[in-house]
Amino acid sequence: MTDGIVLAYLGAALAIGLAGSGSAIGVGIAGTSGAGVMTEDPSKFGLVLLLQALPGTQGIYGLLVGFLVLTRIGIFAGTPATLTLNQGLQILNSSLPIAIAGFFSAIYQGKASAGAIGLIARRPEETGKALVMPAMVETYAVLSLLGSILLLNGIVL
Amino acid sequence: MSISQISKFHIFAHLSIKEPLLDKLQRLGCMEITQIEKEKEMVFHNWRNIEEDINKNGTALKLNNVKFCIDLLSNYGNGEKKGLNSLFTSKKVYRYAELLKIVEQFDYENIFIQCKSLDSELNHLKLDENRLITAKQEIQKWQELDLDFKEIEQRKYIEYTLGTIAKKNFDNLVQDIEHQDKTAVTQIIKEEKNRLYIVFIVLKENFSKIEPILQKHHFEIYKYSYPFTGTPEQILKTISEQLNIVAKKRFEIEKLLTKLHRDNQLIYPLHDILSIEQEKEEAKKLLKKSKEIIAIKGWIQDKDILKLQKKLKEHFKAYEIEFSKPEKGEPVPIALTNHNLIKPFEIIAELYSLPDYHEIDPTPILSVFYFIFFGLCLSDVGYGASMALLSYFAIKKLKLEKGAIKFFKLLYYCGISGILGGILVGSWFGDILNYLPPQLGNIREFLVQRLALFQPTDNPLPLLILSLALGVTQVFTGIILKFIDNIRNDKLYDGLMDQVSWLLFLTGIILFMTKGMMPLFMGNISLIITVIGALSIILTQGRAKNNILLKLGSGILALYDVTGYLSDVLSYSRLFALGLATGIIAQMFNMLATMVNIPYIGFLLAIIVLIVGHTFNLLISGLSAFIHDARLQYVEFFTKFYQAGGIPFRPFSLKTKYIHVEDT
Repeated sequence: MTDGIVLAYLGAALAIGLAGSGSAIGVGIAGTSGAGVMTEDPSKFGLVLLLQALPGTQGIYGLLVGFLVLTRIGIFAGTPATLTLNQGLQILNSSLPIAIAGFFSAIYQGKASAGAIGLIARRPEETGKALVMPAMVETYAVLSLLGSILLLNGIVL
Repeated sequence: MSISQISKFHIFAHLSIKEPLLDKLQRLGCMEITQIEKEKEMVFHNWRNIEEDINKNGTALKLNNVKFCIDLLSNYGNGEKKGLNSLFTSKKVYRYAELLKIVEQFDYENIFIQCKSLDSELNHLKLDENRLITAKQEIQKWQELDLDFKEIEQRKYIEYTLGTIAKKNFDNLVQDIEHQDKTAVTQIIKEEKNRLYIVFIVLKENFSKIEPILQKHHFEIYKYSYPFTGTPEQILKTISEQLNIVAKKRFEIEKLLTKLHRDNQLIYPLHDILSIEQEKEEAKKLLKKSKEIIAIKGWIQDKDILKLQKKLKEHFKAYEIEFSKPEKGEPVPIALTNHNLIKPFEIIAELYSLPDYHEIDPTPILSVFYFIFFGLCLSDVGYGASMALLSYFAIKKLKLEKGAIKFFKLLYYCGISGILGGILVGSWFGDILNYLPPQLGNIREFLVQRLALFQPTDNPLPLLILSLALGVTQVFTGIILKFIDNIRNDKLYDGLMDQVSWLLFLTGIILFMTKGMMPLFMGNISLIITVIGALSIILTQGRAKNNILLKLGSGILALYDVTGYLSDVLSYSRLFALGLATGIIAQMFNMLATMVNIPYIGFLLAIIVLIVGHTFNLLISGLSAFIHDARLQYVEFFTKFYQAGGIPFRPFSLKTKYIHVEDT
């Protein structure tokens, strides 16, 4: 096994692990406030669940990038490519956008979701606006996912 | 366009027909009644509110009582109307006349009294139960004590002291006590993590000497405070017997409640007819009356005017009705009337906010964009088809309310859009076609290679550019809509200066950036357009300022807004990213399924992995597509032109919760 592939593994691991951790924290934050709302009005379960699920997407984006990295270096095909140190670093770097932005945006999206859950508890008619607030935060996760995909796509192996 | 034309109406009628008239209006259900503002609209004097007879018949109270009964009884249903089942059984239909009979015949008060007493019994039982459980928990700690709580209090010469102490203090306490009084006996009843449960036995005459020692070592004395007698063991037995009795009583009451519920299903229609009555009472508060006449003011959709006039003429004589167009600035309620095809998309606009009465309904244009964008975000034939089929099934087979049907129709369209998107990028449950047997290679090749216009995993750029181009289209549409809106409001010059200048500038920039793909002379033309656009922005955007330097300064600053448009357009890259994500996650599950290489059951497991994985992906990608698509409409599109803030048109009608009313 070459040095490069170790770095590529690290990249995949960071993308999956960090973005996933962020999502876990974010979903947790939203869930806590969702549970609070449901003690008052259990009929809001559907909406609350929807809002709680929103910060979960970063983890999926992270997994997605990790998967792309692993496909790219041929793990699933059974014949891992031999990567130079340089190539390995490139792959590691291209995993970083979703790892970093995924981690932080998930946490803050969790907070925005928690706020939105509070909003629908008091004013259920404003559901549309409540859904948009957390989606604003997610923009940056989507953009970093895009960045990771484009970077990864540009690497010559 | 598709905001319904709405008129204001005033009805003046003789007092004697007040009740039948209101009744008729409610049953027609096509008008919203509003408050009459005295000064402006009343030509006559001595108009008063109708106060005297409101709530005279106690509708509100009755309704409250019935609600109480339903809240209680519905917990003890016979399981008929709960859960999924309720989706397949439609609400009972009653005729309006039947409903009125129910109010007269149904003896609700008897049921209310029964409910009330059963409820209070239940509450008592619950209290008893809690008390018993607390006592049980407390006494369980002393279970090992072989003495009678009551009896030891009455001993003549010996003092028994029960209590707890922290473990670390115990040894010191024992030492101190032995030092003071050698006859005292200390016995540990129970050991917990940090505390000990102890009984002291000491001569009464010596107790006063012991007491300060106990305090010194933070010994907490336990006072038994329950009425039960006997040793802890016996008491616990008594308690559990009593708990059994409570549970039995509860069961009896629950049986009674279930029977009461089963025998009195009429309480549901009763609730609805009472809430209809209640709405009528509420409407009365909005009316005004003079000595002989009542006045009703409200809003009506123009298409219903004829129907209203005809019905009124049929039933009444002593009335006068007049219609007028709403004045500017009046808060007109909004009803949308769109073609059936795009009606479901009203949901998206409504989720944000209804349009203002004097502006354009965004629904028709929004529906086109929403449809396209959703397809790009979901972009999988398999998922789109599942969505479309499931919602089609829901519309056909389930007994749904109007609002729910509208929502499922929206999902149906979104599913179809997903199919189209999927064909475009060649995604069929991800790459499931790759696992087809080689004999079917032709089908695969046709579907994935020929039919699909994009191969985003191999070459992402074309699809990304398509996403951005769609973004440019929508942003431009937004600006143009604002321009049209300005013209409609006789602000042509504002439109020219604020929107057309930007359109020129942005078009110029885009042409300039893409000049590589166009004939040479386009480069110069685009440069000219850009400069004209920029100049007109600089010259016009500062026009509100009164100093020439400030005018120029704010004009130049306004150019900076171009970054806003840039980020708007870049925001549409999410279409590409989300679409790609759906496909790749699906691919991931397909691969996971092939990894299950267990003999015999491997095939089954693989299918389970596929079903669970794809369901999960469908849900999460569908949700993402729904929300991000909506966000693009709200944040990037609506901000360009949409004022929103309309109040929905809520007609005065027969509104029900548990049943359907049929009224002809």
